[in-house]
Amino acid sequence: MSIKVPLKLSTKLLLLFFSVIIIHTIVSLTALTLIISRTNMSTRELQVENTTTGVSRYLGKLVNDLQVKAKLFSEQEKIINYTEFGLYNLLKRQLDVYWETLGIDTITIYSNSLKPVASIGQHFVPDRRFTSSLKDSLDGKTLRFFTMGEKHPVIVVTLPIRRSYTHLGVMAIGISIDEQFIAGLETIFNTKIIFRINNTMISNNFDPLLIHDLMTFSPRDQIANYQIKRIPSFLFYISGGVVYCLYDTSAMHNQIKGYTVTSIGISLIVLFSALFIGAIFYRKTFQRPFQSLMEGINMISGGTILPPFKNPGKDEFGELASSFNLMCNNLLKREKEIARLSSYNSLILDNMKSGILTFDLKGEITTINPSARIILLGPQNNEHEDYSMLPDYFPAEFNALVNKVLEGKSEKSDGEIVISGGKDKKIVAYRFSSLLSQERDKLGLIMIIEDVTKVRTLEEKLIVSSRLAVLGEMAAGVAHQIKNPLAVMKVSMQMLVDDLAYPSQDTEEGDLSGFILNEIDTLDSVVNNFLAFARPQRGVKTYEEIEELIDFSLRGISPDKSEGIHIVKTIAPEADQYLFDRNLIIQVLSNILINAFECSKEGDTVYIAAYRGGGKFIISIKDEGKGMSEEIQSKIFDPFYTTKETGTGLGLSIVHRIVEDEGGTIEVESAEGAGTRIKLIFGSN
Amino acid sequence: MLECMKKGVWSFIFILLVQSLFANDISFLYMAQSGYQPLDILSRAEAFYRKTGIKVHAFFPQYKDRYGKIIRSVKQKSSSYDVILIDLIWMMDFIKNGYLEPLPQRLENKVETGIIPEIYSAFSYQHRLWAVPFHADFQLLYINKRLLSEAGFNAPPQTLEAMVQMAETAKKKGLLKYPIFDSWNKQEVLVCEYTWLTGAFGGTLTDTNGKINLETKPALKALRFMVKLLKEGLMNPYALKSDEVFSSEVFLSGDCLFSTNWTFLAELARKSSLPIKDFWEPALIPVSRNVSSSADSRTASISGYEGLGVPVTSHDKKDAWAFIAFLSSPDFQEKHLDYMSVWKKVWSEKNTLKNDPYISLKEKQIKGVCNRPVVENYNMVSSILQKWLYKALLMEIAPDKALKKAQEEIDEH
Repeated sequence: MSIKVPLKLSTKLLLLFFSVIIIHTIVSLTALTLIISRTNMSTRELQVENTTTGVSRYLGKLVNDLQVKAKLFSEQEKIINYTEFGLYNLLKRQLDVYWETLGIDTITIYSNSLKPVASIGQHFVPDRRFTSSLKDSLDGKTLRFFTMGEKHPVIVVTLPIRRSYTHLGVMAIGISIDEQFIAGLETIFNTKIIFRINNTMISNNFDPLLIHDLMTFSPRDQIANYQIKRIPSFLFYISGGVVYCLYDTSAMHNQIKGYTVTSIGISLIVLFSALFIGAIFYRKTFQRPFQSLMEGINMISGGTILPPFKNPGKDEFGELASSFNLMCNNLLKREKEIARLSSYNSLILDNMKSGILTFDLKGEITTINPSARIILLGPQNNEHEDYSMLPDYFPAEFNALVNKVLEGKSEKSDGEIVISGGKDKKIVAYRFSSLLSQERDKLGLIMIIEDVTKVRTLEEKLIVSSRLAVLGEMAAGVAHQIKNPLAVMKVSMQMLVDDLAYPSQDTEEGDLSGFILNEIDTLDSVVNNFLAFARPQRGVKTYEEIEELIDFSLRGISPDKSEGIHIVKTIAPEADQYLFDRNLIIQVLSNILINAFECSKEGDTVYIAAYRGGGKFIISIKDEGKGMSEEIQSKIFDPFYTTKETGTGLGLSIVHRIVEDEGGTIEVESAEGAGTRIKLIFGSN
Repeated sequence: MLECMKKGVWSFIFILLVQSLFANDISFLYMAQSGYQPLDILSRAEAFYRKTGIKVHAFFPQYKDRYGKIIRSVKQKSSSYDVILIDLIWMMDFIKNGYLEPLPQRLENKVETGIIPEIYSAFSYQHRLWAVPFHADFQLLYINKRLLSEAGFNAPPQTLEAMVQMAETAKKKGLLKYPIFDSWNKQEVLVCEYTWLTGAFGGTLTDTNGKINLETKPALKALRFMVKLLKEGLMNPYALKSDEVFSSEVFLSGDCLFSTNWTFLAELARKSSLPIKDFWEPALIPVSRNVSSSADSRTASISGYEGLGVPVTSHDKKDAWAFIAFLSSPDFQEKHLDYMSVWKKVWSEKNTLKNDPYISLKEKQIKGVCNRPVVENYNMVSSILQKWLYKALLMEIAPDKALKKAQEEIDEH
């Protein structure tokens, strides 16, 4: 199982670079080895040729020198004289002198009877050929040839010793072909040399087996490790022998091997140096810039757009880095622009009172502005929450609506929904519109929402107020029309009683007349309330002690109403005074307190508090009574609405009318079985 | 002419300078050739200086230059030399021309008592001695004993005829191409050889009046003998080109059976590193059979004497004679036994006998020496003789005719 790991471009480049170097090195090595081999072979061939030629020339020169020496020698007056006059011992002494001086191995002088008369060095073997040569030389010929000495073969030159045309004898002068001579040659020419003279092989301690091979087999170019060159002696103007030059090729091969090993070693050093330098070069020139580029790209992809290259070079990477820096700067500018725009948009969104949400096609929220969050989640929501999961965060009514729209089940693109979040209910107006791309493709939905709860509440209150105002006007008109008849009726009835002398009520007439008077008073009271409701009796506003007002209000309430009920007052120091119309606020407090006492049972507590908060002056009265249903709450300020057996149903309406006239508002917090709290909220004053 | 005058002036100036430089010294003209060597002479001169305070300035020209120097010096009238070494052959010339001072009587007496007459008489003329004998050289017969033995002989030849027979035998046996070698080149030595050969045949080159006489039987025999040796291949023809030195080399090399040469060869042979060292032998030079029959003439040789004399031009003759007496004294020659002493007493000295085993032979040989003609114009006589003898040896002329021609030519002069 193989795992394919994608290679980075830099790694590929590095591998390519290394591959090129390695291939180059291998090719170079191979070529170098071939060249070395060929050069060595060529050099060796040239060397062999040169050496062979050198040996031939050397021997030729040697023989020529020998002949020149022999000629000079034979023409020496003393030599001639001593030969002629039989002074052979002197001749020998003279030979001694020349022999040492001229470095000749063998000299023999023969008389004209070819008898050796003076000799230095080894004697020549007087074989048929040698004797024949002596005779020829006595006749005046100069001959040179290989011959055998009594110890070693000899290169010999024979020539006549003569005075004018008289041949006095023959001089045979020679150089011994012995081990020393061959060793000297071998040293000069750095090769093995073997002489073959009269089927005798002469060498300097050369392997006898190889010599045997050399003698036995037909001429070959190679025996064992030796390359053989054959030099016939006629090449150096001498007859009777062959010179073999044997070149030890093993040394050449070892040399080639050595060169190859050395070249490989050097190449490896060069290779590793190149790799090292290449790696450094790659790292410095490519990897680092590339890495920086990658880091820059990663940085940008990570959201940080800063020009990553402080000092871009002048090479391609430098240009790329400069371009990249330029791109980053442009991106940075654009990002700033986008940020600015985004910020602007965000500001718009954030500052919009309407809530705006966008949904993708999956129904997930992609945008939500703070107003929407507040509308949907309340002011305590966490801005950083992910709202994409609707059911977990948003009200069920909202989710149901969105899903319905997204699924296409609702044809309405606007409307209102009531969202119940805990104790509160919100009336939220909404409008959907499609979120389209520039290409008019649908990307999702835009939803604009607005909390219209207050509007609707105000609208309701406005309706109530309007209705109350109408009722008040009507009630004031009716009351005015009724009040005078009632006054007439009461006066009339009073006169009647007085006239009829209904001194006590123990009489039926007295009881009846009393009922009529009472009912007339009740009607009068109702009419007065009507009038109070329709036209509150406004006085002058003065700073009133709140606690005194409360106490005064409490004192004005029949004690039997508050009997057995605890009263707890909490007046905040900053709320001890307020600018009120004393009579009206006492009327307000009295009505609310009476209701509180009336719905309380014995042992309950009525909490009265005055405090300031949110720039408002608030008076709160809370009871622990049975509370109200929502339906009742929605009607408690309606005129003539009462849940009590007695009453006109105008108390809270009058309270509502007075508080509104004073510029305040009333908030009712009530739940069945949980008591009721009524807050009178005024301005900061 | 002007050139000659210039030379004369410069010579005069040179002589004056030498005289002024050596005002209290003496000068000695010796030679750088055979005999006592210059170092020996200088050492003796130094000893003389230590003894007498007289400084001796020695000069060592070649033999061939010596005669001319002496003549030129004496003819200047103010000789630059106080002591000169004189070859015997120049004696008569110098005496007749008045170049020499006779020996002081006391020294003459000493010479006559200490030196045998065969030596000192060569320097005697008109009953006076004119030089103190210094070199007593003469020739001996040198034999290669091995070759002689190989030829079948074991004793030196007693006569010339015996010597010839031995040589012929050796030649026949192929021992040598030429058994005899000598120095017969056309030089003074040829006259020497011819002189002793003439003696060997019982004659001399002068008559009783001291006049050259070549037309005698011994003289003719001698020359014919020489020619015969050459003709028969007994004498190496190369002898005609050889001087004594080369001849000695031939003998030392072993290339001849017989050779006659001066006494120096005996010393060379004794000290040689060559094989000859062990098989050479000196012998008396034989004379012809007819001559040897007389007891007094069993050997013949040639003298090569030289003496120390004082030129008349010497500025300090007394010191010169004193130096001659000191230099030629027996105690000096006893210390240099490589050379034959002239003094009889030295010959019998124990040391001499030890160092020179052939002293008795030499003593005998010296008594048989022949002197070359003591004539006034010897050089001219010698030159004529050399010429005609050499022609005869080259066989360009018959011996008798050659001698006749020589005689005529000499007579003409």
